[in-house]
Amino acid sequence: MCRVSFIFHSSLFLLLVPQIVYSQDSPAPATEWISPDALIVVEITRPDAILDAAFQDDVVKAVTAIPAYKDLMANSEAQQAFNLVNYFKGRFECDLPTLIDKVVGGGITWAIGPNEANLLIIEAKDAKTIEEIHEFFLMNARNDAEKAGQPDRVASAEYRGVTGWRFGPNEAHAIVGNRLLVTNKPDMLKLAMDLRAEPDQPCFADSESFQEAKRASSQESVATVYANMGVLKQIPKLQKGLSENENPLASLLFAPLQKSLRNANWVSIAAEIQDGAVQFQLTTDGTVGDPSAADGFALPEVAGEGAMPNFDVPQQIAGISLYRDLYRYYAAKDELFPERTSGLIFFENMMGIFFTGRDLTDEVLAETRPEIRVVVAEQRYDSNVGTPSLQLPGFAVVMRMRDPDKFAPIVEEAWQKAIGLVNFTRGQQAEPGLIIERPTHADITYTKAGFSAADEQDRASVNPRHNFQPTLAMPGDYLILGSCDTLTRDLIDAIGDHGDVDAMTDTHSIAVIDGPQLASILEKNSDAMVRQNMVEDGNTREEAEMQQRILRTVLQNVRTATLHANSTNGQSQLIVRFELSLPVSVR
Amino acid sequence: MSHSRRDFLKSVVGTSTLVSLSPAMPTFMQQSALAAGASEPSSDTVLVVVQLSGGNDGLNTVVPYSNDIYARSRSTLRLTASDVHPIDSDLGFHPEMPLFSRLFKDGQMMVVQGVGYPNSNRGHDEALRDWHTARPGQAACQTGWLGRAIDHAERPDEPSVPATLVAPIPMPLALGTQRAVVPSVRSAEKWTLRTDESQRKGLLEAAKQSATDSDNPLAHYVQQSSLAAHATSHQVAEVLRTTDRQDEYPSFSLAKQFKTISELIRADLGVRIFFAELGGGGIGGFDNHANQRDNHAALLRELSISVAAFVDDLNRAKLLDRVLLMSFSEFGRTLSENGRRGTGHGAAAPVFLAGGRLKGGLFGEHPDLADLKEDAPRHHTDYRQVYATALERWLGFPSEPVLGASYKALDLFV
Amino acid sequence: MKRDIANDVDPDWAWSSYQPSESRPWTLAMAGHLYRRAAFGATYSELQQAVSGGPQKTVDRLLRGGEELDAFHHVMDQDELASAKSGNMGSLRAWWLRRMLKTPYPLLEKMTLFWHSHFGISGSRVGDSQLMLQHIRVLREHALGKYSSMLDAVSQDPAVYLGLGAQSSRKAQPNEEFARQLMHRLSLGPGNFGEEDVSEASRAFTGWVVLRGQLRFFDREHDTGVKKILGRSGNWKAEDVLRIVLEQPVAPRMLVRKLYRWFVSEVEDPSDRLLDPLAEMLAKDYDTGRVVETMLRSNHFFSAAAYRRRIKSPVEFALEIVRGMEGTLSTVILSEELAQLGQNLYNPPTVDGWYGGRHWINSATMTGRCNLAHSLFARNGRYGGKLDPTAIASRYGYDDPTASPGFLVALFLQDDLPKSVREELRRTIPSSIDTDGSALRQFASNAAALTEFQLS
Repeated sequence: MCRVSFIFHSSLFLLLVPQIVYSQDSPAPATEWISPDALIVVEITRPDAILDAAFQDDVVKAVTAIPAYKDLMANSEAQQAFNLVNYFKGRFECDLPTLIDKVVGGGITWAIGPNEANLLIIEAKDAKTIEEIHEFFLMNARNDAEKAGQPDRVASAEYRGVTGWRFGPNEAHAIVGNRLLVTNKPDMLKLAMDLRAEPDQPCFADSESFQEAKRASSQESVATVYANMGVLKQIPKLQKGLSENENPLASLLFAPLQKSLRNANWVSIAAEIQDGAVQFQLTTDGTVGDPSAADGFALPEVAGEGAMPNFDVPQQIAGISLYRDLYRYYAAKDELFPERTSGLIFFENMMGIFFTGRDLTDEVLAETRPEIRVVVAEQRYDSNVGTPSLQLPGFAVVMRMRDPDKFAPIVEEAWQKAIGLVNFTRGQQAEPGLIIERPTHADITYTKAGFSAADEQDRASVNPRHNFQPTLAMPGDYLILGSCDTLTRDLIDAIGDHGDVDAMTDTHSIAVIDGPQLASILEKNSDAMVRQNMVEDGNTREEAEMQQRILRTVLQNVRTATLHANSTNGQSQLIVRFELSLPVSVR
Repeated sequence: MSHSRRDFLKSVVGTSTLVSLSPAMPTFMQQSALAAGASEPSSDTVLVVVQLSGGNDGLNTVVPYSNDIYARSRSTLRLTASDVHPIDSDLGFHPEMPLFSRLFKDGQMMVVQGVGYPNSNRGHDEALRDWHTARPGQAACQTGWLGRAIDHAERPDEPSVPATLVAPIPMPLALGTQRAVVPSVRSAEKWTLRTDESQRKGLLEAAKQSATDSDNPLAHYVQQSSLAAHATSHQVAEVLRTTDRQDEYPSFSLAKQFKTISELIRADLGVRIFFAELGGGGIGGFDNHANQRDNHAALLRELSISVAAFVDDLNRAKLLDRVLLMSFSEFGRTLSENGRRGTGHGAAAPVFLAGGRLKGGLFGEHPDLADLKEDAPRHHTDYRQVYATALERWLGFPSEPVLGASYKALDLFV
Repeated sequence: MKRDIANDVDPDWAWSSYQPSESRPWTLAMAGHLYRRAAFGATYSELQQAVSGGPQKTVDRLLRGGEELDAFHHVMDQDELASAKSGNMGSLRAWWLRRMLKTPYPLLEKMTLFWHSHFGISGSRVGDSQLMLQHIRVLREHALGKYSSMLDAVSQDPAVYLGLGAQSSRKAQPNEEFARQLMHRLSLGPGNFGEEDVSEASRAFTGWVVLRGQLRFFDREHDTGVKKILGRSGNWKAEDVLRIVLEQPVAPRMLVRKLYRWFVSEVEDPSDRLLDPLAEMLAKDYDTGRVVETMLRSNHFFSAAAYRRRIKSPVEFALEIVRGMEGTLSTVILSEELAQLGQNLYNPPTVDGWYGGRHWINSATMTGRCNLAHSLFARNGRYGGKLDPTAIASRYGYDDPTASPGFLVALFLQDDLPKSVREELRRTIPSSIDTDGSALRQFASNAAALTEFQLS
């Protein structure tokens, strides 16, 4: 549904700035008309495929059935655009997909940079349609200019046998054969005409990195973005973003991606539409480096290792699986984040207490394996406790221990000390404390701490603190640190069923989000979300409720969103895939 | 007002505005200078206070490397003669502080040893509150020592800003005022106006011509403030445009704060007090109860490199004579290690001073390690003496109303 | 040659109801003045209604509040309580700003803000958002009521004890903070009591302890001995102390002086002679609502002695812009920016509250105000362009781009600007057609940066 609305809007944009085509010779690819120093080039190679997917009956029905769609259409700007589209639909006696196909069906190419220049090249299938649309806008532009007392605003000029048009100060366009070229810098238009006339001049299509990127990206893609990282990396802000690691946790999560972008000469993002799914694949020649480097902690030292497949538990909202060697990560902390923030020192001090002075790197983190999984799921509330006024999802981190016989008692002691410290601190502030229990589930005895609910009056709306029942369970060599009891028990079950699953070689990060499940927890907290939206965005209650509804509807239609990052053969890949409830596919 | 500033403003706002602009510029400096009397304080001196959050281990910063008691008490954290940058045969700077050693030798740095207060508190919040308020044990005190100095320095007809927070932390109690609004400025850009400069200038000119509501002192005051804001914005923009010292400052948080302070000093806005911080606020990075060696070294490295970059920058710009940098931490640490390769909360510790008009050298004795109080060094210089020195002898503010009593200032400046 | 305009006037004339006359006409400027002081600025329709209805009718309306007040408060109270339960003090600030913006009874919020500053209780000291919310509700409940009832309620409010650092007072160790602040700031004023009075009165407050967010009285910790307070001896309890201090003649005068500075003028310190009629009125039954009403209806209020004789607080500055634009925007972001400008709601700097006046303004906060106005009106930015001057001008029929700047000057400055400034302001609108309203947005932020707009 995101895709559909994006396509819909971009089609409007095109209709607002168009122009036409006369000759029928077969021109060189549009990328040959683009400056070799362009920073980013977007190619929509198969507009027909996108149109097919977007305008399937089921998709259109699903989108227009959303209440939010009607609300959106009621707004005056959308209404105006709609009227314009309807006008052309009537004039050409065709439906919207056909209209768009006539105008952009030959493909769209958009070049960005250098110097904030934009060049959009649209290839029409039906030159006559686009010509008529241009006439329409030309007439309007002239009328507006005259009304404003600036008839000079609309102008045209000849260059290398092509007529260039201008409707306003920051716009220029021309029609060459089947192509419409639109730009914000007239120089780009001239350069395109020069490149057209003299094909031997260097152009973007010739550049080595572009060709390499093109070879690496899928042939199935309907659209592709190429970025020249060699140049983009020089932008100070990006350079900073790729080199700094101010937050240790962000560094743990994103260092591999950061590293590969830092090493990259090019990045390509290819979009594919498959049965019921939309997929984006980011590929770069930047590598994650080697395991011995300070930031090589996401690379296996042992061949065949990698992130484990995610768990699957009831009511799961999200799962993250990482391959991160915490021992190597922490040992390299001086290089990774040389500044000592209070958060880090607090962490060290606390770990020093919990682990009774053991060395955090050599005696604690070295005991854990690099496969780390995080699970987020809705929790089920014990009827003896009640349902909190705010329903937070449960979180759990699952790790594996190298030597459970030795390490398990150490973890148990550390965990109980931590609970004790929490209780002591809360007691100082006159807050209720946690009571530790040792329940058993599936023959596994684990440790759980929870607040007493004896004082609660209304079981339908108890204090939000009852969302937290910190648990520690250690089935086999697994170590589960959970925020609530039900998730921990579900994970004990999942591990029991798990058996021996193979790691995903070369993969360092996997994430999956379940849209409908996320929508479900948002709905349960709808009141709080609406209130927050009102003061954070300054919306009325009705607007806030509508935004929440739209968000939930979108999420309900995204069955899953997955992210998969790996590094092979000198290239790094990041795949983001949306499995949709809508039956999008390429005919 | 200095001549250079007057000329500068003249070029900024044009000759015609100069007359009306001059009352907008900091006259309180001159007035407070008159009030101070004592040791010829200058009217454009600047105090930069640096908080080392968490309780810096003074014993491993200025290290008594040849002391047996020290050596015996610190089995893993001990620094030896071969590690330190020696000051004399007894003391030396931490191995990561070669630049402090250089500044010290050049007379641009002084160390006041054994600073603390009687019955000092060993809780972070309480001790920090004591250092910020300069009223030990008074939990109800809601103003800070710098805040009270600011309230005293503020003049009703004067829109200049006596002090600003530069550190990326919430407004510290030290800057807590009763009346004045103290800004938090994380980058000099924040002090520039986003509105169109030529339109703004036109409107200010027009307002001046109209001599609006001449019997309304508030209107007059706001008008002066608008002119001051305009001039300030221009001055800061000029400094940012003309000086590019990106390379002179490392990418540490503290160094970035110093870079901003340097820009604001160059812009000559009349700000007298800047507050910077190292350690990340909250409980603070210096609170090393575990694995102290590497963490403390990293912080001292950041401190040393950042301070040296700041001093060198100001020195090149010939501004160092106007600046006094002063560090403090809520407490030092215990002499003994705690079994987790860390140390506990202590008491007295050294205060570091940097600037262009210091006498140099060590001030006061290193605390006697044979005479400890609950495992921590005792103080011989009250921290309010250091404050009194900074207020009276450096800024030229009277210290007694600020500190609530008279404290003997130290003889530190040439 | 500064004229002491406030103290030259005849008190009887000063506090009589203002009736427009030829020499003292009722104007748009006067309507704007009233709405700045008794509300958080006006919308264009409120200004027009005021101009046609006359001063007394407009004051009537402001004193009464608008329609559906109970429903408004009910919904707001629920939202606030839900936010407070989440423990987030920051969102309480945002909700209060939203209440100030949306309320049909702005005078009530204005007075609640006055009392918030008067009592100076800071959330950072109290540390409990539900207690802080409860505190502000107590202030709102009595905002235009009797000060004596207000003090009774405040003396039962745990947040006040926590905020003053007086959470525990035992017989053996009386805590002096409550009694000291009561005498020093809340009733008598410095110089009108002695240290003895404070320590004796403190004994009357022994036994009151805040435990787990509740104020409780422990009989065994209460000092039942005879206390001598301000010359009167007896086995006084807390409520007796409150009664005794309010019976002192200096008490009503101190409060009236504070209200004068809030509603009338920050420029001169008014003479006792000018304030005495109001102080006598207050002394009768401590009805602050009646004193406020008298001030707002008075000749003195609608005179040059009061007009633009205050500096807007940051909250007033920002809300007058937003109310004038009849919009709503992120009050979470706004509350943070107002804190930067010196007014952090729920967190007055000290128990003395916000002193304000000139102290609101220095070269940094002036820069901050200009930049805040700029981002409030900006099409893109933190506030998402939610305030749209073109749309509001057009709502009132000023569609023509040449008329809309004049509309804004009437709305925000009631046309009361020096001619040279007005002309220069007009010049900031470029001659070319303002197709997307950007020039009018810039014009509006220029107008909000003017000296006159900083004055209330």
